[in-house]
Order: sequence, then structure tokens, then C-alpha cells
Amino acid sequence: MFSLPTLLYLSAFLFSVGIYGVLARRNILVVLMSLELMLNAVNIALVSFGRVHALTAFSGEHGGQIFTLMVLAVAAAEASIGLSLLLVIWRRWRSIDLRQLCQLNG
Amino acid sequence: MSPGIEQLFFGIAAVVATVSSMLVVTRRNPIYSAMFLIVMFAAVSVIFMLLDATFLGFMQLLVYAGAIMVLYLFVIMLINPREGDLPEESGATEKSFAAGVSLLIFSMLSFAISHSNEVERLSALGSIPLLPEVSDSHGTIRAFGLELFHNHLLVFELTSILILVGIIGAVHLASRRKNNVPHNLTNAAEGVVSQDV
Amino acid sequence: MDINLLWIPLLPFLGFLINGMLGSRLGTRSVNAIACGLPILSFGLSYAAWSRLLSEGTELHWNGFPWIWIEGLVEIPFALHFDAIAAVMCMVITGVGSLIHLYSIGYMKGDPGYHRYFAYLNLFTAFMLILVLGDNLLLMFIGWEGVGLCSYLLIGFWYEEDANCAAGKKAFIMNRVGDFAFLLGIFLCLAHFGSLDMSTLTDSEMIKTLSAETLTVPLLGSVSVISMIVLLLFIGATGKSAQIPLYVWLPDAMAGPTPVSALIHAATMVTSGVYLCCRLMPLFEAAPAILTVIAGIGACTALLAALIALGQNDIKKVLAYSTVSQLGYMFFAIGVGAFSAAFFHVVTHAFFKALLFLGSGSVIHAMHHEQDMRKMGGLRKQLPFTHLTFLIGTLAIAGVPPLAGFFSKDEILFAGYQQGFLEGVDSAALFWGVSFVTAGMTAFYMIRCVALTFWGESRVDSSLEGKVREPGGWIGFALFMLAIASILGGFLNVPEFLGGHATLGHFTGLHHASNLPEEVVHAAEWKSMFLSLAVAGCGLLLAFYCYGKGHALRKAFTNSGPGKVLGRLSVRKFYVDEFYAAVFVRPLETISHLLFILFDRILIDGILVTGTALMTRSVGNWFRKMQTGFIPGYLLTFGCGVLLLIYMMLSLIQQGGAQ
Repeated sequence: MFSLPTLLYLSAFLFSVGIYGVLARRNILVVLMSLELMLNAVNIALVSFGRVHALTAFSGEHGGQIFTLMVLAVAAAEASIGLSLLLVIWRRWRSIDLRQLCQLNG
Repeated sequence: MSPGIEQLFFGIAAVVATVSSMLVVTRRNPIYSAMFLIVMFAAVSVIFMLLDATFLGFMQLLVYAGAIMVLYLFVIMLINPREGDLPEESGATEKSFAAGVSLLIFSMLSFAISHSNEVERLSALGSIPLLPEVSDSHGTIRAFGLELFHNHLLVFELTSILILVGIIGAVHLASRRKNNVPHNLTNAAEGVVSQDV
Repeated sequence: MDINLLWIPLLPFLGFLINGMLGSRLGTRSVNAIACGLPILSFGLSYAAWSRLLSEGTELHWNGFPWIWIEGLVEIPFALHFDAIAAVMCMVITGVGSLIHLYSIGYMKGDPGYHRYFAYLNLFTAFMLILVLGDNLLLMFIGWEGVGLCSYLLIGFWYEEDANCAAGKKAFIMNRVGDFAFLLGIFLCLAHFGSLDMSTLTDSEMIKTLSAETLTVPLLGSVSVISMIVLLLFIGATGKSAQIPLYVWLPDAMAGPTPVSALIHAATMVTSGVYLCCRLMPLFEAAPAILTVIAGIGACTALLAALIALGQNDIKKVLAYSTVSQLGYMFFAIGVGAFSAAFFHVVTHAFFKALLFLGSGSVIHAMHHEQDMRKMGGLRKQLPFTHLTFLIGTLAIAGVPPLAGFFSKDEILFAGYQQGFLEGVDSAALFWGVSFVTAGMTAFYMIRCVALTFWGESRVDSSLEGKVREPGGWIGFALFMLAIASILGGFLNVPEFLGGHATLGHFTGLHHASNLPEEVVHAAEWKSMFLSLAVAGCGLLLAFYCYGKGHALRKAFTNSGPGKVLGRLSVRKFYVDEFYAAVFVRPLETISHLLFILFDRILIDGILVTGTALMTRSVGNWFRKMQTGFIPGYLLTFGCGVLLLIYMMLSLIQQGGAQ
């Protein structure tokens, strides 16, 4: 049960749930959270692969984990930027509805 | 840790992650979503630790559950949306469409996993293809740090620059300036419409 | 002392650069110093080179650099050569040119485009020197085009008036016609001689071998290569030197400032066609049929221009037609093989025609830009010095001994006489007759010009009363120097029967000794001289009686039937401009307009430009609808894209696995 395929299925499932959240929700906050969810799903896959190939991987024993650390950093940066954008949007229009931000239309 | 316990812990963590992730995307109030997200992060952190990535597991807790989610909660508190401010959620059609897309992606990924050579090779090895044996120091701060600062220093530095950029961007965007007068969304939208060719 | 020939054209060019770029910031004095100083320096250099040529007999050469150079195929160097003909031309250009530069200081005073004027004038001098010094036809062509450009710029110098711009364009376009033929001639030379060097083109062996070759030309049939080259070069020369049928630009070119008319449209540029013929004398002599054509065109141009000059009332137009007429003389001389006489006439004509133009400029300047002779008269009292110098010029052009024009024109007429009567060539005799009549008419219209301007009663507008004053300073100086040159210029080439040595002819190597016995020639020369003196005298006297003393004779003539017709034809310039307008200009304009509508308006503007814009806009409008600004929509599209990508990767992996 605790094996690579299971881990990967879990990762795929979390990723799909994240996609659902991004596509279905209108609240920007939740959409951002869904993005974090997707990143985590990928992290699981990375760490699993890294663990399985720990002794043979080209990127070293901890390659998968280091990659995950980078994703962590990216997630942190993304969250800070995304949330500050959200703040600006809120200040300007008093709304966090994704569907109302449609002024960039052609 | 014996394999049986590992199995148990993994099962619990996986179920918790699955359920809480689904709750994240379905709760109407973002506070609940955030709380369930923290639960999911914790579950993932457990999985990391089970995979001998001890340091990373702690990092997951610290950075995700600690820092990022605190940020989310702060923002939620800052804007403090009342029930009426929360956007009206999508209708059944849109939801089902989104569900269809995500299900399709999941099925394709599953197909890929079940048909990959790697999984086939592993399952051919036996009933429980366990992880390879590694030294005790695997995943500790020492081993992880040595490898990070020896082999992946450049990437590490680049990441620090990325975070720096993130900080500056966030400060710049979120700083309250005088001309940030609240607009009426519909008016602004009409203004744009009137400029249309 | 070593003289680098490059400096001769380079100095005026430097003047052009300095005045052209910095002139508006320099003061008038600096502009004057640069504009006049550099051509004078160039004159000094030419003089040094000339005196070296006289004393040591070395023809200076500047090797320059390889210019258009394809080893063994086309080898055209950028080289200058200073032989006797070039030396004389250089002296005339820089000498007369410097005087005209100095004259312009007085004439152009206070003009808003002062520095621009001098920049153009310097540029002209530079290009003219390149034309003269260039050691190959292509370099000569550079100068040829360059002087054309300067001519255009200076004709349209006062560009505020449309007429001036139109005159500039006319000159430029007429010259293009000729230049096209010139260029074809150059190509033909390159194709058959394999080189454009003057030494190759005048090489007698080369010409001898080539004279057997023929070309098949449409309309003309089989023509010898040499004849074709000479014909094309001559057509080029008719453009620049204002011969039939391309002469009509020159009278219009008088729209420019008068010193420009003197320098470019009388003394130097327009004689470059003659210079070209002299430079390539052996080539031209190898095509006797074309020479006959040249003689005919020259004589006819001389007659036609003289007839038109009779009826002109604008003082500069008279001089312009007189220039065309004199150029006709030069080509007549070339046509009858008297290259030496033609070249001699170039030199003397440069002196007296520059003098006449500058004199007329002095009158125009004093009259506050009035050019109509009907509004002059009696100016002798107010402008005594100008009158004196103008009269000298008039007598010189009329051929009164011992002024410059007498010797040169006499030599030309004798050359025609010799070929026509001593050697018995009928066409030459006919053309001699035409030129002979023209000589009388030259004297007539020039005296008419003097009489209308300076003699008789004043018809000056009352508003100018008391304001007409003799311009002094540089204007007077230039007139004085040119008057001296007009008096003494003829002694450069005194013929042998008058005790001279034909110095110029021998120096330039253009002189041909006649095959006929010496006594016969000398007797004919005396006869010819007396005939031309007589006809000039008749012209002078007739004009004197028509315009100077009493007007009965003139009135009787103008009231008679043929007189009326002739007078009208002359005033209207024989309707040549109208003829050209009807035959060439208007059809061309119609076709151009048609093409403009068809190609420019409909095809380019309509379909290509507006059509492209419309298409882009409609495609943009169409795509614009995709930009809904609706973020979930974008996300959904993105999700579908990811789906597609995963699908593609899967199928790729499966294919890979199957192999």
C-alpha cells in the first residue's frame, strides 16, 4: 500500500482536486489555495521519485527534496504576490469575485 | 519504524489529505478552506517524513502551515469579507464542467501511472515493492544541507533572488497609496466599454 | 614642388562642406573668406600645375585609388589627369569662377540664403573641376552629374517662387534625357574598349581596330560601334550644352541669380559638352558621319537661338539665347573638325559671356531686380562703367577685332569655309552659310540689347528715379578683370596668317595642319576674315540704325508681313516649348495621372495599404472577442490545454514503448 504507485495516485488525485478548485471556484482566495494544493501534489510526486531513486538519481541523493524546497520557495513568493494583488483588488473594487474582474476584455 | 506502522500512518495521512483537499475546494467560507488546507499540509508533511525526508517534512510544516497559511489568514482578516461580500458560487453546469476536466486529467494521470514501465518494473519485484535502503543520515539537515550547498548552490541563490523579488513586489503592491481610491466596479467596467472601438 | 591634383577640386569642396554645414553660424565675413578664398587657392594650384606643364612639359597625374575594380573585367580607377586641355579649362573655371565668387559678394549681399548660395557655388566649382580633371569617362560623369545638380540647386535658389522651381526641374529633367544617352555611351565604351580611361579611348590603334565593328541598332540598322558611341556621347552633350533638341532648359535657367547664370549657364558648365568632344577628339574624328550631324545641329542651333534672341525683351533671356547660339557655333566647329577653334571659342566665350552676364547682373542689381529692357534705356549716364564693360563684351561677341570673339569666331567660320569650299563638302558649305548669317545676327541682337538698355531715352520706372547707382566694390572689380580678359583673350590663339602661332591650338594638341597648300589656305583665311568682318559690321550698323539712331527702319520692317510673322515667332520662341508640351509633356502627364490613379490610388493605397489595414482590423476584431477578460474562461482554456498536453505526451510515450 505504501508504495510508489500509491503515492503517485495520491499526488494525481490531489492535483486534480486542485484543478477542480481553480476551475470551479469564484473566490480568488480559494483559487489561490487550490494552487497551493496543486503545488503540494507535485511535491509529493517529487519526493517519492527522489526517495525511490535516491541511490541512482543523477541529481544526487536528495535531488527530489531539494527540488521540493525550491517549489516551496516559489510557493511562498507566489502566495505573497498573489495575496498582495488580491489586497489591491479588494481595495479598489471591494470584491474578491474572479468573474467580476473582466475589464481586460478586448 | 516497522513496515506495518508505516503502512498505517501512510493510510491515515493519505485519507486525511484526500478528504481535507476536497473540503478545501468545496467550502464556501475561505476561513474553512484555509483550515482544511492546513490539515492537508500537515498530512503531506507526515507523508514526507514517512519517505525519510525528515527535514523537508518540518520545512513543509514551517513554511506552508506556518508562514504561508498565516499570510492567507492575515489577508482574510484584513479584508474581513462578510457573508454578503463572498462571491456567489458557480452554477451546476460550470461545476460539472470543471469536475469533468479535473476527472479527465486524473484519469489520464492514472493511466500513465498504471502503464508506466517504472511501476511495472516495481510491481514485478514482488507484492510490496518497498523503498530502497538508504543510510540513516538520509533526509537529515546535515546531509540535506551538504548536498544543497555543494551541488545546488546556484539554484539556491537564484531562489533567494526570487524570494527577494517576491518581497519587493508584495511590499510595493500592498502599500497603501493615495490614489488607490475605491472604484465602483461596474462604473469602471462601463468606462472601459465606452472606449471600445 | 609636388602638387597633388586632388587638392584642386578638394579645396572648393571643403568650402562647400564648411559653408554648407556651418555657414549659418559663421559671420558674413568668414563665409566670404572661405567661399572665395578656397577657389582662389585652387586657382593658384592650377596655375602652379599649369606653369609646370609649360616649363617642364610634365602632365601631372594623380593615381588615386582603385574605384570600381573587378580584376580583369572592369577596372576603373579614381584618377585625375592634368593635360593641356584640362589645364586651360582649370584655369578658366577657377579664374572666372573666383571672379564670379567675388562678384557674388556684392550681388548677393543681404540675401537670406547667403551661405547656402556660396556653398552651392563652391560645390559647383568642385564638380566642374572633377569633370575636367577626371581621367576616365565615369569620373567625368560624376562631375557631369554633380554640376547638373548644382545647376538645379542654383536655378531654384529662390525656391519661394514656383516659376524658379519649375525652371530648375526643367533643367534637371532635360539634362536627364541627355545624361541617359551619355550613360549608354559610357556603357558602350566599356563594352567595346574594355576601359574608360581617356588614354584608351583616344588610342588611335584601338579606334582603328574598333572601327570595323558594327552594331545592329533598332531604327538605325547596322551602325559602326564608334559612330554609335560618338552619337550617344553627343546626345549627352546636347543636353548639357543646350543644343537642339534639348536647349529649351537654358533660357529658363536664367531664373537663378545672375552670377550663377554667368558661371554655370554661360562660362563653364554648358561648355562641358564641347570639352567632352575635345577630350575625345580622335574618337569623334573616327566618325565623320556623326560629325556632319554635329555640324548641322550646331549651325541650326546657332541660327534658331539667334532668331529667338532678336525678339526677347528680358536682358538675361537675350544673353541666354546668345549663349545657346554661341554653343551652337562651338559644335559647328567640332562638326567641321576644327576642335581647336571650338575649344578656343569655349575659352573666349567664357570671358566675354561671363562679362556680359555680370554686366547685366550689375544692371539688374542697380535696377532693383528689373530685367525687362523695355523698362530700361539711357542707363549709360547712371552706369557708365557697367556700360563700358558691357559694350566691350558686346563687341567681343560680335567679333570686332582685336577683341577675343573676333579671333575665335573667325577661326570657326574659316574652318567651315575651308571644309565647305576648299575641300568641297556640300553640307559644310550649307552650314557655313547658316553660321555666317548667324554671325551678323549676333552682332545685331547684341547691339539691340545694348541700345535698349543703355542708350536712348530713359524708360526707367519713376519709382526708381535717382536710385540707380553704379555698384562698386567687388562687382566693379570682377567686371574690370573680365573686360581685360575679353580684350586680350583672343591673343591666346592668333592664327598664323596674322603673324601668330596658334599657341592655344598647339598647346592643347587640338590643332590640325591643313593638307592644302599654304598659299591657298592663307588666301582663303584672308577672304573668310573679311567676309565675317563684313557681316558683323553689317549687323552692327543695321542694329545701330534700328535701335540707336531713329526707328524708321525698324518700324517699317516690323509692320511688313514677313516682319510681323518673324517677330511673333521670335517673341514666342518659335513655339518650341509649346510643341514639346503638346508632344512630350502632356501625354506623359496624362499617362502618369492614369498610372497614379490606377497603381497608386487603387492598387497601392486602396488594396495594399488600406486593404491590409482593413484585413488586420477585421481579424483583430474577430480575435478580440476571444479576449473576454473573463479569468475563469482563461483558466478553463488553460486546463483544456494541459489536458491536451498530457494526452499528447501519453500517446508519444505509448508509441515509444511500442517500438
